[in-house]
Parts: sequence; structure tokens; C-alpha cells
Amino acid sequence: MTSLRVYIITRALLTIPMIFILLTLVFVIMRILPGNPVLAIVGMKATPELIESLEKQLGLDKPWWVQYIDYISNLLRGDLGRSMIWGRRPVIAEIMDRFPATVELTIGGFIVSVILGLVTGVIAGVKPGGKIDATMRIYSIVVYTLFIPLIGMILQYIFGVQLKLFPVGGRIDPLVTPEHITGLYVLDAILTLNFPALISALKHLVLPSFTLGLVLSGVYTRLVRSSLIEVLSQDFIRACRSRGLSERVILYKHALKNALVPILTMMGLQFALLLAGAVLTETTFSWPGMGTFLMERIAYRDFTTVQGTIVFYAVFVALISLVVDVVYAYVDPRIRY
Amino acid sequence: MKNVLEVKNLSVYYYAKRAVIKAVENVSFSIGEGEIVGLVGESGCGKSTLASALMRLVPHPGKIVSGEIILNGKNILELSDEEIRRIRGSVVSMVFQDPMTCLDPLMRIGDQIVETILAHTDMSSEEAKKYAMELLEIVGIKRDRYYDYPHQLSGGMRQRVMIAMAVALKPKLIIADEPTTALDVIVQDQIMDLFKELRDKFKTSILVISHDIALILEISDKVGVMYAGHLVEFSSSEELIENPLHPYTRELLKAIPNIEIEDQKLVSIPGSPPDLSNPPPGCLFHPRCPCRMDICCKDAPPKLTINGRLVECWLYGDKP
Amino acid sequence: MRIIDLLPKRVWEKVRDAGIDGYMVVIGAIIVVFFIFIAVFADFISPYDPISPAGPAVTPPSPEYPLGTDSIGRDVLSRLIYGTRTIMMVIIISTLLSMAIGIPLGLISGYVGGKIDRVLSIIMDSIYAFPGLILAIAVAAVLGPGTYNTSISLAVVYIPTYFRMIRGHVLSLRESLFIEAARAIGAKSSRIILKYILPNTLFIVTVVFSLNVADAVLTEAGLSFLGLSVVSPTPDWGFDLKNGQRYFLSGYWWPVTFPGLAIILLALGFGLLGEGLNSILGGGERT
Repeated sequence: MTSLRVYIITRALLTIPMIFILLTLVFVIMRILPGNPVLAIVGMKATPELIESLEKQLGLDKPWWVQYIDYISNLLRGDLGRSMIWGRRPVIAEIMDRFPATVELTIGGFIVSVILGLVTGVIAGVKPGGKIDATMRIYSIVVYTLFIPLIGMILQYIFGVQLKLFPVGGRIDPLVTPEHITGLYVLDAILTLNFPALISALKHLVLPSFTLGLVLSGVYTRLVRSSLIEVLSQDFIRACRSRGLSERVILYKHALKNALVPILTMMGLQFALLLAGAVLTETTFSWPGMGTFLMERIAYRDFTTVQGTIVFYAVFVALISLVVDVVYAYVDPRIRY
Repeated sequence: MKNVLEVKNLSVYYYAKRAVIKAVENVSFSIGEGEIVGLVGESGCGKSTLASALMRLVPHPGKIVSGEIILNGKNILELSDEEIRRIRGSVVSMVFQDPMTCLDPLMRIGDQIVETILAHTDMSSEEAKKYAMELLEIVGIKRDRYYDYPHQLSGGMRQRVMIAMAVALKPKLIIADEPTTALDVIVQDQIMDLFKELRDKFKTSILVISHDIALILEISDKVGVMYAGHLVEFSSSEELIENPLHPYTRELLKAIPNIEIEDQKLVSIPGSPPDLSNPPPGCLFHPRCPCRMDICCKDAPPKLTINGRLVECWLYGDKP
Repeated sequence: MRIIDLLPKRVWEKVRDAGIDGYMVVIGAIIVVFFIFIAVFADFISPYDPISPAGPAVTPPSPEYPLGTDSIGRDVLSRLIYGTRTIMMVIIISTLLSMAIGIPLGLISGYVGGKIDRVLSIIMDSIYAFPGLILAIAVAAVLGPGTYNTSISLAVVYIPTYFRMIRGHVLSLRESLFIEAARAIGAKSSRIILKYILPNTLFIVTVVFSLNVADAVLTEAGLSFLGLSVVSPTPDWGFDLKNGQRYFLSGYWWPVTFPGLAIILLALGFGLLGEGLNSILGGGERT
């Protein structure tokens, strides 16, 4: 068994306690913290019988450890319960309706943040200590403090209202919605060769992705910069120079590749920031993703759905960080062989 | 014999925040075709800085302040960045001290050799690859290890890879900066034998830099002794062993442990090297010199040539 | 006597020599002090009452209402000023809570080690890996609105941060050679703590604290924007931003822009302070 396979298995096993802890945490938050969810739905005027029957329906009359076991066993079967309000469809199905939208936005934001971060980080890293470097460092700090809703709204106003270049909200022009294959409009449009859908989807994606990506790019600026400085100070870079390789080759072929490897490990953590930022972005741009879904259900006091959505987030984050670690192990030959 | 390298009055200073460190001060020597020249001295004596200067690779905040470095007839200090880039690796190349850190960990070693070849020649990738495998054999590595990554090789093998890269374009001069310091003694021997082979096969000149004087004496035709940035003595290795001129050289030779003598006391030179940002007046060695005279404390010693040997010491000079 | 004279001499010298990092620290500190000042003296500075309407709705900035009025006619500037108090309160309470739980747990975990450390660490790491804002949303959704509830939501998010900081610090101190050296030359325990451990710890806490608060400001604003933090009519920047949203694209920019800028500025102040200090004092600390 290669060390890569061992690594993947070990890492996957480590994910399990993490997911477990998060699931428990969600349970604690939802059940044990003060506040009676049933009362919140039906209000103070409800009759005691109504309250009781609802509590029974939700399993809230059982002792907490029984509730906990039920909760975990349901989750292991992938059952996130049903909405307290629209009880027909299981929560997981409702989430999966909205999930692709968030994925699309997250990918868009990710791409923008990495590109911006790489460019600014490399500019800063090749000449550390100079004025340009200082500017880039300030950039990375300032950009993270840009409040997403404000930036989003400003961009909406300038590019949407004044310049009329991009739409102000929504995911696509409803008239050109592509055939549903993955739920990712861009991908589906490409797969079905639906040009108008592709254009519309991309146009709607620009402003939200840029907002999200801009704010998060600062994190990458710093990572790229410090990683690059670290790599450029290493002996093998000097050795490359002594062999007469040009500065350009050294930077792109050797330094950047080596600098990017440690950054991969950080990408898992940054993913959490992306998801969090996506909630604000979705709300600002009326983007029909998991974030707006969550807020909607909170407003309706639909606690089962809210709980299910948080659980989904937890599992999603854990899995992504696993994937990132595996990719890193694959890319770094020191682990692979 | 034509000289491959002529260094004339070379000075290299480091400009730190609050001080100027005179790492190399007014050094002159030359290396002939096919010669192995050794440069020896304590840590911090400036030998590594000198080596870097010979390829114009002195790291920031160092600067080559004055002098000439004439490599193969051309003063490299006057060349443009592009011209010096072309010379590096092809006319002069370097083997570094720590093979662990000198190879790109993400690239197969064979590909790294090929990269160097392709940067300086018009060969096709296949030709370069074939040549790289030949080079691996020359330095004693099996061809199929072309596809390995650096971390899969031992320290000695990585050093050989570096040597392969250094030799690839048949340079006139190879600079080996502490080539065996990070390796164990058996491997040291092998590497040194390899150097001798390469010199015989390719007629390359080699500049070996080390603090291990025994190693230097064994392999070099000529030896230079450095102290605190000054080249205090330069002569053939036989003459150096038989009749060391400079007091520092004598102390260095005394300090070599002899495996045949029983109950030998470890000899070291009392005192420590001077602070190069604030050097003492006169001869920099005078605080530790057993032959110290009055004038040594006041005036810098002159550079003298005695029977073709260079030495910088008042013992041989005309006192004013 | 200048404020500079109150600082330990070495710190001030370092700040001055540090170039851009020094500027960051100074500017950050000025911004933070500025906001603290506003929060403390709000009653004296604010031209109007932030809760009741002061004029006609949505009037643009004018000499009478320097930053304009919002959708109900309340003076934006006054709400901005009192909003400083709201956010400061939330930040202070939540930070104290996070520290009260995170620091002792970190101390225990780092000092005792073993199984306790492993269990606590994996719990804290899992929480830390989860998106902060979403966790805050979950807690806020259950607790309901209100300043104190919001503080609790934020506190939960940042407990792992303080935990990790203290734990890492304790671990590195345990191994620290200079503590051994100090003991070897016979220094008394109390002297060791005072002279070596405390200053070191203080610096790290300040850096982590600043960077954390910057993040907390943005998270609180995020919660407010999503409608989960304060009860109307409490003046709160994020809340006001949300209320102004529907007018923004029609050109009524001031109810949104000024609270938004305030959020950014306060977060920036703490961020610059934290980053600058971090660089000066050696860097390497991460939240």
C-alpha cells in the first residue's frame, strides 16, 4: 500500500470525529439552549394540547439522550427530517435544490480570490520590504474589512444601475434557464450547448463572485507573499541561478510551484470563510442559494430545517477539508512516494 | 599555461543597517587550466562570499566594491545581466554545500539536469535527456534514477546530481563550496575522487572551498589561506606543507590531528576571528599571532611574492 | 507627559524603527481610540436622539442633518454615534466571554496535556474549522434577538481562537529553553513569570485580541445585516445598513454608505493594529 493510500485512509478516519463533534454541537445549540421552538412557531396563544401534539411530532417530549440517539441515527441514514412548516418534502431534498447555487457562487468567489491573491501576493513577494510590498500588505488587510453587503451594493449600483452592464440580482434570466443536469447553470448550459443560458448565467455570476472574491483575496495575498518569500530564500533558488536559469523561469517554474504547495493546505480553512461570506453575498444579491434558504427558514422559525441546514454545512465543510488535504498529499511528491 | 581565472584586488562588502562588513578585502590570485585550487579558512573568513562573487551571486546586502574577476579572458564584472546569466552554468558552475536543500523538491532530478542543459544549448529534449542519463552514469548514479525525486536519494547521491549539473556543459571552472561538509567521511572520499576524475576527463579547473584543511591539502594543486577577508597565503600544496610562510597557516597545520600519533593533544588557535565591521588596526591576525611584532599592530602588512608564492605578512616584508 | 512615555520603552522604540508596521500600529490605535471616545461621549457629541425621528424621511446630507436621515427620519449621524456604543458593548461582552471560557480551557489543555488535551483540542479544532458567521447565525437563531444574545452568539464563535492561542503559548513556554536557562541561573519562579512570561503573553494576547475583534466587528455587522442581532430601534450599523438597502439602488446612498464605512473603519482600526503588532513582534501568530 503506497503511503498516499495510507494517508488518505488516516485522514478520512480523522474526519469522522470532527463531523461527529459538529453534529453534537448543532444538537446542543438547537435543543439545549434556552427557547422552546414550538412556542416560537405557534405563538403564546396556542392551546396546551396543540403545543403537546407538536412537541410529540417533533420528538421533543422524549428525554434528551433519546433525542440525541434518534438524531444521530437519523443523520447516519442521511435523514435530515422534514420541515416543520411544509412537511411534505424531506429537508435534504430542499437543501439539494439550493445547494448548486451556493456551489456556483463559491467557486466563482474562489476563482476570483485566488487570482487576485496570486497576483498581489507575487508582486509583494518578489520584492519584500519595498513600497510595493507595503502596498500589497495594506491591500490584504483593507480588503478583508470591506463589508460584503456594502461592497456588493456599491457594485450593484455602479455596474448594475448606472452602467447597466450586469444584472443586479438573481442567478439567471428565468426565460433561459438551462436543462437541469447538475444544477450548476454554467455547467449545464455548456453541457447542453445552450449559449443564451450560458451568457445569462455568467453575467449574473460576475458581480457576486467578484464581491466575495475581492474580500477574501486578502487572505491569499498574505499566504502567497509569505510562502513565496520563504521559497525564494531557499538554497535551491540560488542553485538555479548559479546554473544560469533566467529569473522568469526561476519564478514561474520553481518558486511559484513550491510556494503554492503550503498554500493548498490553507485552502481548506479558507473554504469556511468562503461559505460564510457566501451567506452575506447571497442575501445582498438575492442569490437563491443555501444562505438565503437558511435565513428564510429562520424567519419562519422552521427549526427542523434550520438544524438540517446547519448539519449539512458541517458535513460539507468537513468533506471539503478532507478533499483538500488529499489533493495536497497528491501534489507533494514527498508524501506520495 | 593559460589562466582560467584571474582575481585582481577583489573586495566585497556587506552593507548592514548599522555597519559595513568587509567580508573580502583586496584579494588576488589565479587559477590555471586543469588546476585544482583549494581555499581554506575558518568560518566567516570570507571564502564563501568570495565564491559567490566569482559568479556575481553575492546575496543582498552584499556588493562587489572593487577589483576585477577575469574569467576565461573576460572581466565578468563588466558584463550585462544577460551575459552573466549565460556564463553561469556553462563557463563556470557551482556545487553547493548542502545537497539537501539545493534541489527543487518538486521536480524529478533528471528533469532538473535537463533543464540546465536546455537553458544553454540547442539540444532537443530527447538529446538532452540522453545526455543527462550519461552524466548520471559519469558521476556514479544508475540511469533509472533519472525519474526519482530529490528526497528519494541519499545526501551523497544528491551531491553527485549537483556535480552532474555542474559538469553538464563542460565548464572551464567548477566552484565547489564546502562540497563535502554535509556528508560523512566515506562519501567525502568518493566525492573527492570524483572531482579528480572530472578534472582528468574534462580538463576542468576546480576551486574547492572548505574549512577542512586536511581535505584541501589532499586534493589541491595550489592552496589559498584566508583569514578575516584577506588572502594571507597562496602557494602550491607541497610548498605549503613543507614550509608554511604565514603564522596562521602554521597554526592551521598544527591543528590537524594526526592519526598516527598517540595521546595527541587537540591544538586550537587561541582567540577568535575579528569583528569585520570594526576590525583592529594593522594586521587583522595580530591579536592571535605568536610572531607578532610592533609594526603588526599598527600598519597593514604588504602583499609579497616570494618564489612565486603569495604571502601577506610583515615577517617577510621590508620594515620601513 | 505624553502617552508615549507610558509605554514600555522597548515597545515604542520598536514601533518607531519598524517602518510601515509602525505606521499601521499607530494609525490602527488612533482609529480604535477615536471610536472608543465616540462611544463614551456619545451623549455629548450626538446632535439628535437616535431612536426617535428627527426630521423628514430620507433627506440627503445637509448642514441640519450632516449625514442625512434614514427611512424613518432618524438622523444618520446620531445613529452612527450611538451605534458605536452598541457594537462596542457587544464586542466587549463577547470577547470577555470567549476569553473566560477559552483561556482557562487552553491553560488546562496545554499544561495538563494527555487525554484531556487531545479531546479538548479536537473539539476546539472542529468548531474552529466551521464557518464562523454560520455558527453565529445558528446560535442567534435559537437565542433570538437582543444585545446580550448577540454577544453570546459571537462568544461561541471565538472561544476556539483564544483556546488555541493560550494552549500554543503554554506549550511553547513549557519547552522553552530560556525558562530552563533562567531556572538554571537560579532565578526565582515569580521573577521568571514576571520578567519573561508575562510580557510575552501580553503581546500575544494583544495581537490575537486585535485581529479577533476586527473579525468580530464584521461578524456582528453580518448578523445585524441578516436581521439576527439587535432589536429595533437599537442603533446598530449593520441593522441600519439592512434598513437602507431597499432605497440604495434608487440613489439614496447615505443610509447605507455611512454605517457601512463605519463598520469597515472600525474593523480596519483593529486589523491594522493587530497586523502591525504581529509583524513587529515577530509574526507567526495566526487567529
